[in-house]
Amino acid sequence: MTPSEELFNNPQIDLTTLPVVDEMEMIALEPAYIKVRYIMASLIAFVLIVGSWIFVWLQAAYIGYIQIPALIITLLSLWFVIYNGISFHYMRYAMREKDISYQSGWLWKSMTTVPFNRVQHCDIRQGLIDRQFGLSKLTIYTAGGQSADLMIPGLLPETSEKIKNYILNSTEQSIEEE
Amino acid sequence: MEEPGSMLYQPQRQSIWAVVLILLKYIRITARQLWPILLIVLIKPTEGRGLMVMSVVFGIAFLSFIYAIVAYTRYYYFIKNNELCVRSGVFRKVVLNVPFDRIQSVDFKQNIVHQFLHVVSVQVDTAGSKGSELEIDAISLVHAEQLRTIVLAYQKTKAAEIVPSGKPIPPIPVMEEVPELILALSSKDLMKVGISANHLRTAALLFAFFVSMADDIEQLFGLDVWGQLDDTTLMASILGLLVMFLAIPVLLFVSFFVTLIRTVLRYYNLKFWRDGKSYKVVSGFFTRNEKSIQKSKIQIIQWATSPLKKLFGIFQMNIYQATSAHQHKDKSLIIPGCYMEQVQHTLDTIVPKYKDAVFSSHRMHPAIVILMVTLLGFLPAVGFGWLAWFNGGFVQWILILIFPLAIWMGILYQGKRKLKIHPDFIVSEGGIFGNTSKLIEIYKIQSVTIHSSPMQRRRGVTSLHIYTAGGDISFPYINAKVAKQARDFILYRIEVEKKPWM
Repeated sequence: MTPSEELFNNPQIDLTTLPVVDEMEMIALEPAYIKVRYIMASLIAFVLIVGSWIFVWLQAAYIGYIQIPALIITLLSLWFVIYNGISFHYMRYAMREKDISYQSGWLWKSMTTVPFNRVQHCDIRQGLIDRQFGLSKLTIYTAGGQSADLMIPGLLPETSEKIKNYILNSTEQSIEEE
Repeated sequence: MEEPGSMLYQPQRQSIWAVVLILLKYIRITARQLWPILLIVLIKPTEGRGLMVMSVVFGIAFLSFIYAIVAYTRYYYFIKNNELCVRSGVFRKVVLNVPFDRIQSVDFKQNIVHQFLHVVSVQVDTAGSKGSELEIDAISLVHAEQLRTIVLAYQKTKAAEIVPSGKPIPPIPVMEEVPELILALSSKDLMKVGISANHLRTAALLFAFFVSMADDIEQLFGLDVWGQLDDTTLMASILGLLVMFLAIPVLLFVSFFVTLIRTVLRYYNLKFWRDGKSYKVVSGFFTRNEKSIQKSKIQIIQWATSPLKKLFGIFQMNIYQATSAHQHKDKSLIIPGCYMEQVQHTLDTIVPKYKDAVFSSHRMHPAIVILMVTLLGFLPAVGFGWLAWFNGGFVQWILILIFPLAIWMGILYQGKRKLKIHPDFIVSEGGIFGNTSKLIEIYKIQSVTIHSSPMQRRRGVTSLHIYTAGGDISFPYINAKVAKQARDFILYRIEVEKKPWM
């Protein structure tokens, strides 16, 4: 069997007429959010690096070559901070009439789409660091569990509110239509 | 004449036997927390400490008994405004209201004590947030049946949209439909199920248990288990190899019987019913378990075989329903020992259009073999290599076998893994030694994600993840163009679909 390039071997629906998610114009997050990302990542990296070297200091006498894993942890933590900063530039979202998409990731890319008529509820959160920069995080919950939810960080609270209201309105409409 | 179940509208206590069951529950929880201590105390009773241990044990038992009585007297359940309400709490008051709309299923469970006391425990599962499950420890079967009838009757009328919402509806007698028995597991088939169960998993569990116990054994008996394996001289290595060749059959033999007995007890006298719009499984020797799923809540249907099951021609069917996450396994119907005709019949009743559906099939890119070799070969090799570094002995022999095995398994996996799509359905096929198929109706999908790593992009492939309220299915290493078309098609189908997904 040759690997086919088309979804359906015998198309009953003309796939070329379907709306295509990739052709949307994606909106970038607030520029201030990159600072939040750097701060968060640095905090985590700091705890990991300090923790691992304290462990080395305590155990060096008993376990040989223990510095090697600690060195690896340190390098990975630094990489984690840099990756977090770079990947900010790849985090974008877009809304269509009936769904919302969010993409992220620099090397490991991912894009999730949630149709409005599958939204259970939305919430807007502001973490401690978010608040310092006047940002908020919008989470859109579906019945598909945690990995199926869509989370857009780095939004102005007004934007979050606007998106949330738009989604909830559309969800209501789709329920009324039924 | 009083309507059936009308007394449920008044606050009701549980059956008096609930005290016993609450007590047993606490003892079980305590024992699970404290068993290592108990084991040490039982095996090595130190002189003079016996009295102290005894008084602590009796103290805990006495307090649990008092607690159970208080918990019983403070627990009330009743129905009010189409909600199931529970008032409980020993130290702080807990009031739980579950609207009937939110109730996913009302399941009964009877362990051997329940059976003896003629009571059932009722588990009410709700949609949405975690931990919103409600359990009544022990009520009479009559009350439990009435409760379920009221909930189901409400949901039925609600579905028909006859009754305006908000008004309490009187319990209406449920229309008697003749339940259809799809499968009754005969003792011969039960043995087949037991023999073909996953013994390797039990073996792995036993092995892990032994490893975790090794340190405790050392403390208890002064036997240094790791020291025995630590000797890396040629003599010890040969000895280790001999021990391994002896230990592995013994381990497999023990695992075989453990799984066989567990499976037989669990699926003893299993019956699979279709009762109007719901599906029901009853099984168990000591604990009689009854689980039911309403047809509209079914999200994923899975049927699977293993090499041993294939020999007998049997499948295990799992029916997953919409639940809060982390409960997908708990709340699914498991029907082992189905023959293909029973699988077919069930599919016909749940998704009639599936039978004639013509699917377009897509394989995973051959590069998935590399991923599988990394997961099944390289990662375990690092683990075993690390073990061999410290312990030597027989471990290094396992290392030699890992890679050929991993490559073989990767090739088998690539050959079987398929995405099959039809305008209404998606089927995920897979398996290494066995075969597993999962069926999803497209309009029940909640959201779609596409992932790609740098390696995948270089080969023009991506991973497609599809989420439903009853679990996820993923297709790794699928042609990027196909994955994107599939996503766009799924979204289009969900967005134009008016049928409620649940």
